[in-house]
Amino acid sequence: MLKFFLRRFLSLIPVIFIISIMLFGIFKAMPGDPVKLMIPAGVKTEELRQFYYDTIKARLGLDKSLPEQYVRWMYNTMQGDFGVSTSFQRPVTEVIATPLKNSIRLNVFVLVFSFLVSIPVGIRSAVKRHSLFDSFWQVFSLVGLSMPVFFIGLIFIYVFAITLRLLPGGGMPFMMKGDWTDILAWARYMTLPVITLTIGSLAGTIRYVRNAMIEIISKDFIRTARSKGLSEKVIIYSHAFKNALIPVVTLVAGSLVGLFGGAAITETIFAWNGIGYVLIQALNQRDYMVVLTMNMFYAVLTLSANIIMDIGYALVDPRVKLK
Amino acid sequence: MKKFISLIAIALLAASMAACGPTSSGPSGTLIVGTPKMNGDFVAGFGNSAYDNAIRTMIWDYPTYTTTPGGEFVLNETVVEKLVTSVDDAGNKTYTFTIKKGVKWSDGSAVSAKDFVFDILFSAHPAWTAAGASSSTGDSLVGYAAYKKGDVATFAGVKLIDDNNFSVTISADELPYFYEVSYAAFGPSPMAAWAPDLTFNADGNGLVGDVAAVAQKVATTERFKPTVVSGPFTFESFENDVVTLKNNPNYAGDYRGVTAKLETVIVKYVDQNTDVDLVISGDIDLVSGVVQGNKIEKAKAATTADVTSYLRNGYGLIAYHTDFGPTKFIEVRQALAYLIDRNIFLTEILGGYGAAVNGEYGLAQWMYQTQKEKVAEKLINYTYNVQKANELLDKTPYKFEADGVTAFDPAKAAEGYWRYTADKEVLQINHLGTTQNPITVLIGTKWPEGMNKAGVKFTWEEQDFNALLANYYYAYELEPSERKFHTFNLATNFTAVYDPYYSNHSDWLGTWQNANQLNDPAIDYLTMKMRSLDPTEKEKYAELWLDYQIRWNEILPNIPIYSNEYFDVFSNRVKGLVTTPLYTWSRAILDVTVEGE
Repeated sequence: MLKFFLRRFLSLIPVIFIISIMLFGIFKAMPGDPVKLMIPAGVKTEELRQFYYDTIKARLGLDKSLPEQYVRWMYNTMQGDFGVSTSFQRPVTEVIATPLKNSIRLNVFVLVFSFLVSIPVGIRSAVKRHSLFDSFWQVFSLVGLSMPVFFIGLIFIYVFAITLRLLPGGGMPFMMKGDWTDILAWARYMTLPVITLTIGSLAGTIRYVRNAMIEIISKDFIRTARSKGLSEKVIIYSHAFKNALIPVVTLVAGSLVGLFGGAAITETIFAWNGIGYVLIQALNQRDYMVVLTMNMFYAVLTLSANIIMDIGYALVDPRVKLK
Repeated sequence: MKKFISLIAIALLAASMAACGPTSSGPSGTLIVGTPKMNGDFVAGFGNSAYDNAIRTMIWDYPTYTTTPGGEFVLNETVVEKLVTSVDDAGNKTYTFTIKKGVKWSDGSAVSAKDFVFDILFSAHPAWTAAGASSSTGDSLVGYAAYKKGDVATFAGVKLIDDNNFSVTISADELPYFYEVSYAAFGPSPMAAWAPDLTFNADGNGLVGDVAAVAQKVATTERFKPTVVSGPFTFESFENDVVTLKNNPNYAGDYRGVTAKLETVIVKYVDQNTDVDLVISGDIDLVSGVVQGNKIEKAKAATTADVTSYLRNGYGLIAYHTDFGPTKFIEVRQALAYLIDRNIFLTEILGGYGAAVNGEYGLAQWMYQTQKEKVAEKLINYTYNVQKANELLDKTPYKFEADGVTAFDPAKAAEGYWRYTADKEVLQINHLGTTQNPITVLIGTKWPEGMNKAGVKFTWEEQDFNALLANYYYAYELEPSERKFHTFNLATNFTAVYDPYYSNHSDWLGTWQNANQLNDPAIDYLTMKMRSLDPTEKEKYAELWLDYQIRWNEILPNIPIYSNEYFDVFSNRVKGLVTTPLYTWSRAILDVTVEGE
C-alpha cells in the first residue's frame, strides 16, 4: 500500500509540472493587459501614465521574460507565495483564504446531507422500482436537474426570508460574540444555501446510486442469493450495496474536489462570501495569479482524488489490488 | 415626620422622573445598509470600488475644501481657521491654511498641519506607488512630476510652516482654473499612527526616514483595518463582506459642524436580485442607487419602505471613434443617432425612471438646471428619423450602391442593400459592448432595424471589459489593420468638477484620455475658455458651457442614450435621509436617525 502510494505520488510530479506549463502558457497567451486596468483614471500626462505602467509592471514581475516569470512563479508557488492578485491588489493567499474556507464550510454540509439522503433513497428507489416512492424521487430528480439551482435559491429566499421572515435572505453572520450564539448565527445564515445546494446535488446523486443499484440487483449473484433464501435486507445491504459502492466511491472522490469549489451563482444569490465569486471576478479581470493558483490547486486536488479513489476501490472491492 | 416623608416622596418622584426621561442625547441606533460586494480597501489609493469608497467617506474627513449637496466647493471651516492666498511673479498661487485647534483624530490626538503635509508628501511619494497604491494627490502643485517619479526628494509645491500652518502652491501652468479650489483640497492622514518614525526635512517639503517601509505597512495593514481615522465613524471590522462602523466621539463634524447621530452602521453585501425585498422584509434598512423599474415600483408600493430619488449626474452612451472608418464623418455620426429610438432604453431598461439627454451633461448639474429651456431649444434632439438619416448620409461619401456609381435609393433600403463610396467601400459599423449587459443586447438588436432602412451594415460583439479597454481607450496602440470597432456602449458620471479638457481636447489625441480621439478646434477653444475662467465668473462659465454643449451636440462624439433616476430605498424607521448625485448616502448619513431602538 505504502509503495503504491509513494509510486503514485511520484508520478504526480511530472503531471503537475506539465499542467503548470500548460496553464501558465494559456493564461499568458490570453489577450489583454492587466497592468492597463490598474493604471488609475485621471493621470494627467503620458509621462506619468508610463511611470505608473512601469512601476506596476515591475511590482508584479511582469517586466521579466516569460521563462523567467514561469520559473519565479513556480519557485514562489512551492514556497507558498502565490503572487499578487491584480484585481484585488493583495497577495493571492489573502484573497482566497476566507472565501475558500467559507465555501468548504458550506460544501461539507451539502456533501454530508446529500449523501445521507441520496444513498438510502437511491437504494430504496432501485429496490422498489416503479413504486410511488421511486416515482416521486424520479420526478424530484428530473425537476432538480432541469431547474437551475439559483432559481430554487430565489424561491427559498422569497418564501422563508421575505414572506415568512424565518431566516435571513442572504449574507454572512456578523457582530459575532465569540460564544455559543455564534453557532446559531452561522446555522441561520447557512440553512438556506445548504438546503438549496443539497437539493441541486441530490437530483444527480440519487439517480446515480439508483442506477448503480439497479445494475447490481439484476446480476446473477443476487438471483443466486435470493434462491438461497437469504433475507432481502441481507441481499440488498450485504451483497448488492457493497458491489454498488464502486461507482459511489467515484462519486464521493469527485465530490471531495467539489468541496473546494465554489458555486458562483448560488453564492451570489445568497451573498455568501465564497470562492466562486472570487474566481468569476478574477476571470473577468484577467487576474492571472488568482486563476492560475486556483487552477493549479484544483489540478493537484483532482490528481490526489484519483489516488484516493484507487484506494477506495481496493477497500470496497477485494478484486482490485493496489500494485 | 410628615415633612420628612413628603421630602423623601418628592425626592423619589424626581429621581423616578429623571430615570424615565431621556437618558442621553448621544448617538443611538444601528443602521444596516445593503451593498454590492466590497473589495475591502479602506485607505485611499487602492482600488476604485464605489462601495469601498462609501466606507472611506464615513471614516475619513476633514478636507480643507469640500462640496455641498449641490456640488458647490466650500472652505471647510470646521477644520480651517484661516486661509491666505498669494500669487508670485511666475503666476504660481499659494494657499496658506491655518488648521483649527481642537480638531481630533478618532484616538483623541490632535489633527495638525503635519498630518496634512504628510498626506500630500506620502500620497505623491514614489514608494506609495511602488507599494501598489495610486494617487493623484498634489498633481497640480509645483514640482509634482519630479517628486512623483522620484527624481527629487522634495515636493516644491508643499510646505509645512509649523504645527498649525501649511501651504500648497498651485503651478502657474494649471491656472487660471474655474475649479481652482479643487487643487487646494487636501485631507489629513494620521502621521503619528502610520509613520511615527518619519520626520520632515528642514524646509517642510520632504519626508525623512524609511518611507518605503511605511508604505508597505500601510498597504498591508491600515489599508484593510484603519486604526485611527478622521470621519464620523470609526472602523471596527470587515469580515465576510460585512463592515461594522461605530460612532466616533472625537469627530469634530462636517463642514457644517454636524456629527453622526447613529451609534452603529453595518454595511453588508446583499444580492442585487433581492436587495429591495430585504429592505421591505426588514432584513436591512437601506439600499442605494436602485435603477430597475420593477424594484422601484415594488418599493413604492411597500408599506414598510420608503424611497428618495435623484437624477444621475451622468448618462449611458454609445461612443464613437471619430478618427476611424465611417464614424470619422460628422454626418454619419448624426445619421446613426437618428437611426435608434432612444426611448427604448428608458422603457425597456429603466422602466420609465430616467430621461434622454442631448449633450455631455447630467440632469442634476447646475449648468443644466439653470439653462434647461435654452438646452431644449438649441440642442438637436436626435429622435428616430430614417428620412433625416438618409439625407445626412447622402452628404457623405457613402451615397452609392455597390457599383460605386449608382446613387443609393432609400426607397429600396432593406437588409443587404448597403451604401458604398465611389471606391466601393461599404458603410459598415462594428459595435462592441460588454457582456452580460442588457444595454449591449438592446443596441445589438434594435439599432440594425433603423440601419437597414438607411443602407448601413451593422455587426456587434459582446466582450469583457478588458477588450473594451483595448479597443476603445487604447485603440491608438493598435495597428490600423487590428482596428475593427467604430462604436462602443458604456456610461459616464460627472463629479463636482466638470472639466472636459482631458477627455475631449486635441492635446490628448493619441492617448487613452481622449478615447473618442476627438479633434475639433471649436471644442478645443471652448474647453480651454471654460476652465480658464476665474471661479467667480459663474455666469460666463454657464454661457460657455451652453456653447460647448451646442457644439458637442452637433459634432456628436457620443450618442447619449439615457440618464437614470437613482432611487435609495429605505425602511420606514430610517429618518432624515436626503441624497443628491453628489451627496450620496455615505455623506447624508450624518443627518440620519433610526426609530424604534
